[in-house]
Amino acid sequence: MADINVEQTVKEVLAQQLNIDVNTIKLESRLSEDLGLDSFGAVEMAFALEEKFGLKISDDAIYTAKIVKDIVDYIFNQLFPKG
Amino acid sequence: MQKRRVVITGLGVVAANGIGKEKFWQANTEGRSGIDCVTSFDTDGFDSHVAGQVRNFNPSEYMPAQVVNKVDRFVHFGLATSQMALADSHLDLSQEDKIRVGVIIGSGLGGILFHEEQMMVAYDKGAHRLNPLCVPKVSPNAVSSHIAIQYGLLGPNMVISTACASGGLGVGEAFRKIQWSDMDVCFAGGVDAPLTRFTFGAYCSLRVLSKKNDPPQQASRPFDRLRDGFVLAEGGAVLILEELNHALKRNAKIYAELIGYAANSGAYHMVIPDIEGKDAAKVMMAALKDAHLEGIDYINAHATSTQANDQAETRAIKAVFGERAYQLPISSTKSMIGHSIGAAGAIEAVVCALAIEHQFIPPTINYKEKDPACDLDYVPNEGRNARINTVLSNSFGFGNCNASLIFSKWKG
Repeated sequence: MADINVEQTVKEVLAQQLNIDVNTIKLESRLSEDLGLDSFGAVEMAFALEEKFGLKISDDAIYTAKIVKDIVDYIFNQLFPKG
Repeated sequence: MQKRRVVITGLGVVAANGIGKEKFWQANTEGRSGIDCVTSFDTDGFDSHVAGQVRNFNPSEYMPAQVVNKVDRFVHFGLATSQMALADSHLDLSQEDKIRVGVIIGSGLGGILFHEEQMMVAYDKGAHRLNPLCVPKVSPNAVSSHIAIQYGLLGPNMVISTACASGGLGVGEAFRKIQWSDMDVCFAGGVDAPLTRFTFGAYCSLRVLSKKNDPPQQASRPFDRLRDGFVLAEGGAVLILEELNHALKRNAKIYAELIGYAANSGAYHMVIPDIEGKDAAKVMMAALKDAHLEGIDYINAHATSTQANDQAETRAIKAVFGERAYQLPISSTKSMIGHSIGAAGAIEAVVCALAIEHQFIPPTINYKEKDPACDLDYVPNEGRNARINTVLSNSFGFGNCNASLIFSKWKG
């Protein structure tokens, strides 16, 4: 699992789902304002990421994430819990 | 209250034999088929392997990037043809009272492709994995609502689902609503995207699809003695219908006037038409009465290429026009396009408008052997120039849902 690039995978899932160029997505991009992700899109994104990473993403994490980095950090922490 | 006059001022079409009105019309005049082997899914195990599949269609050219993945393919066709029709009409929506602009689209099957994909997800991965957009992507009215959202249309917004007659009724009901002042402008048409393994297989099971797979271009052969079923197709068409004075005030180009419409029911059988064509004759007569006409210059027939439909329609035309039926040019553009279910009537309305504009009748291709039961002039294999003032278009759906539309050359 460690060889999966979390940041790149999250960006690719968003790009595919939103039908936009992956290079336009930055870690600081705002999910709603910059990328146009709505609440339904957030659920779709969560399904895709759960399949990619083999983990469960909580509804809280989906709805509280503001920028791409929030999603990346959440997944990273799930994959590599501290302590 | 007096009925108002309604004209066609914009055309958008996506069909197997052409995307956009220019390419589409060129294919129809040249007798070019859009039928080929299905490549969008595996037809292994079916008797039929051919369809009117729309190729080289990129939805991103016609709608915002973020809409593309949020809608089913049938909505892609609706949004694409709406954009084409609006651009063609040169109507400036920013100058319109949007509450007077509506959208009425026919669709026999709705978002059947996404429905099928999500059924697989439900069974393979579990119902908890169903896409949150299932309901709004699958709903038939997704197409009219997405068009309304795209252009901010606030008038009547609906989808009419009457199987293979949906597109004809979509145009007809929009015509009525403008006639009776419910709105001034309407995006009217029909769309369907039935080329999915489940839907294709379902039509195969019904034994209505042609098995003439080789060559695919010769599978759809309306009125020909050896016809053996229709060729399933996908696509769509939207026409901008406009109240006459509204169009005249802005110096719009007028393709044709819609002057007659009728819809009825055969109340006979869910799949089989009345072989005498009584209900088909009645709906044509009602449309002629609505248009105050007795004769017609050209009929764009429903003519699907099934034994039953083409024979019943021929009998119905004879019942309506008597001996004059033998002098009346009739053609089936489904011979080139295939049968696009809810899109068919709207695509054929585009054919009628362009036939009037170009004073040209497209052919029925693949007509080789005369059927004693179908003995009229089907404009076989080659189109022809003709003086066309009036055109009748038939749409007959499963469940005996029927509609006839009558178009007239605009003489302004």
